[in-house]
Amino acid sequence: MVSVEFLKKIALFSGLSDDEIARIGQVCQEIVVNRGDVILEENAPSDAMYIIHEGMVKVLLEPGKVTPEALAAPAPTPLLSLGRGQVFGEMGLVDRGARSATVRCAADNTRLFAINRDDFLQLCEEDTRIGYVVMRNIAKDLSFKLRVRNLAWK
Amino acid sequence: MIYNVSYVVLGGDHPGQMQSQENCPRVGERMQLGDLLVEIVEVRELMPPMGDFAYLHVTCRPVQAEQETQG
Repeated sequence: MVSVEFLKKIALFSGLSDDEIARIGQVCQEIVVNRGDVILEENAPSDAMYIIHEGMVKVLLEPGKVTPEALAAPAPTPLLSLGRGQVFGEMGLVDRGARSATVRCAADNTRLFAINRDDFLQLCEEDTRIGYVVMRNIAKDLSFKLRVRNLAWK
Repeated sequence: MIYNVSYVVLGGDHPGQMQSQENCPRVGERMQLGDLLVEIVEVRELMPPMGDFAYLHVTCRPVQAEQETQG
């Protein structure tokens, strides 16, 4: 069971009360993965987002699927690593699109909390303040990641 | 304050890293990014803080090569 104290340190839940965060905790499912395990696969359907509690994951682009560099690469191209407190898979939660990248576990005993999209959207319907606050925070998280990618092109 | 930090490493193959942390990164600080020892050379605020959360972009340089040449 995920603790409210941990979820309070996740930017996605900034602005929520303890009671509201506890409701989020009720739809979190703990998953433990080990180095090399594939958590998300590029182009696969999306059904959940993930919060990293402990450990590390790597975000990868499969060869030949997006960029010319990836096309020429014999192995998946690493985009970045994500550590404690980071969220991934949230794009699929918002747009229901296919996974844009592969995410592979980079450390043994990596602990994740998965939030199923249908469970989350149902919670947002039941409590629209939670829905508004989390969706606003997801927008901020995606904006942060986009700004980081923009800097990488400079 | 919780710091959402994006790390990039100059001139290397490290793809970069994002993590949340409770200490604010400082220029000159040395830290481990995966297997790589790096030194922070720049810290910039990428977006205004929201509540208890800050959004920082940190540029680092590897220090392992420097240590090897000095050794």
